[in-house]
Amino acid sequence: MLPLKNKVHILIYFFVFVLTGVVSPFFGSSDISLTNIITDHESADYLILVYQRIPRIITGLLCGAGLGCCGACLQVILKNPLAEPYVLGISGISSLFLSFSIIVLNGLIPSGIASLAGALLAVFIIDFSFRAFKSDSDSTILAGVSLNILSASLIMFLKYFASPNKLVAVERWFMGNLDVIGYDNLIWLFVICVCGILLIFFKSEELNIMGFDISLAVSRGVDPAKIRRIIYFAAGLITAGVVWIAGPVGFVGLIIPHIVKNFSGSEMKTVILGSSFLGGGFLCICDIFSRVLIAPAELPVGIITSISGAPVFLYILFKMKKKK
Amino acid sequence: MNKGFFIKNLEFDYKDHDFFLEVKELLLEKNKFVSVIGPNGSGKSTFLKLLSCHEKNFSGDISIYGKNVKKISSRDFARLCALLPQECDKGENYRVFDIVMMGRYPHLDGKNYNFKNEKNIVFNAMKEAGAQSFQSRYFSSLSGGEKKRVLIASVIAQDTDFLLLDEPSSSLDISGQAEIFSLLRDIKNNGKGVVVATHNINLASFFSDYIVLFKKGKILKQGTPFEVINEKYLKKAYGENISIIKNPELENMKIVLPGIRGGIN
Repeated sequence: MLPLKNKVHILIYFFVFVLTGVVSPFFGSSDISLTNIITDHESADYLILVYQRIPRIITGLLCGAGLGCCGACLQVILKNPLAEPYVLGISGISSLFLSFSIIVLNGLIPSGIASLAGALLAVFIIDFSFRAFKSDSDSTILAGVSLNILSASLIMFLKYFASPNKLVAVERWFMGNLDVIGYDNLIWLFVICVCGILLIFFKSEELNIMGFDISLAVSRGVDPAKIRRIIYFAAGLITAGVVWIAGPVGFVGLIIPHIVKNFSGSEMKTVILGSSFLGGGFLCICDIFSRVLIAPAELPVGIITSISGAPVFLYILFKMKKKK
Repeated sequence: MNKGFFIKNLEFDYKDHDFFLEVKELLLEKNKFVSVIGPNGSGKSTFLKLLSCHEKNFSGDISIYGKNVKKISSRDFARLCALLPQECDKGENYRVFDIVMMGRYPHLDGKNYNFKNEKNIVFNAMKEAGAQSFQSRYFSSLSGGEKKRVLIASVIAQDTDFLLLDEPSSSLDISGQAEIFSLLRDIKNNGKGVVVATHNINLASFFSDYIVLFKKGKILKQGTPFEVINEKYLKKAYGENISIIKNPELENMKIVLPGIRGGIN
């Protein structure tokens, strides 16, 4: 049972989530008028809203929520404030597999399956290194960072041989982009993100106990290895979904959980729900910037999240050093 | 052998460093305060880890109430026996109430969960451990003694027959240490079995019903404080130059003093 304060905080995060979702369709390179939309369902404004803006907002909300939630739980099980899908190379390996399926296999394997395989391979490697390093989280983060570098260079290698039209597609997608048209893939993204977040949410009690102390958790009958496997699987699933639809969007999973923890404390039910809602809202707001900053052209949203995320990353590093 | 923990022919070694632990036979009963003493590296912590099923790669038998610990599910075991590790790594920062509530985890099975009831148990545990006055504060803001009280409250809330505590009084001042030991004695008087690994021989001899003295992974001597706190055994364990003097206030009590190299000037 949560204290009232935490419930109020969750409600505030939810409000931010809903508010950004409702407001952001009305920002963009072309102005759309509400009266046109309501009166004429054949108008360009209506079509832009329903087939471009709304799918895009939903994508932003879902991807941001998934990434925020992944960051929140990975930071607890790896006991490291820097853990998140991008830093750990989960997005990287997933992108590598996806590029491989587009450039080399010519779409022989569906891109969604390829990115899922990559993400699951990455979490397997991370789980393996965490055990091999005897639960030393700093080394595990370094292993993840090297996965990230490896995948980035292999993607460059692949791009060197790609034909120009494929290159453009891969390049654009690799920067992180929420540009989706229609709802076909969104249903899958919705199922993946909601299932992943729920799977993580139902383990929040165990995550709380593990977040406090691992040997105390063991003496309470929690099996840390099993919980870790569940979390890795859920995080891999969500990351694969995000990479498949929007590309490797960085830093959302890093910044958002820290903001939520600073504001509402470490209780995991609050942190997981809060990070999900705030992550969705944050990615949507970044997307608004990506649409209006150089309108009528668009910036990839990955650039905005990285520009705002990298300074926060540095700030956290400095703060960590100070604590020690 | 259904009175509590029974250990027979226990053997264990760490694969990556040179250490071997061996216990021929030992009975740890409920309603007893047992202290495990011995020099650094003598195997006290390892012994508690084995008892609490944190380490299962041992040969020999450890049973609780006649049941082999390897055959009990981790959740069932967590309802019988709780371990307070020597150090809690400062992970996430939680409120004291939430931390004590975590002790209830092995009892939560969804069906007959009653939040009011759970809350009462948590409040009583905090009261027993003297932690109720800072229940809504954050763990990182507490002093060393207060942190120990919170951790002990969370172990009380786990409501097990046995409580294993690894150096519960470390990093506390002398009266703080005595406070923790009196608190553990109260817990024992409420019908629990308390097993404490400690460096404080004097407090151990004062509060314990039974003392187990380890040296280099083997039990050097076990018995009542009167039997174990004896020049012969303690010199064997801690070195020739320790001295044991009579307590001027209490007849049967002895005080153990460390030897000081170079003497006292």
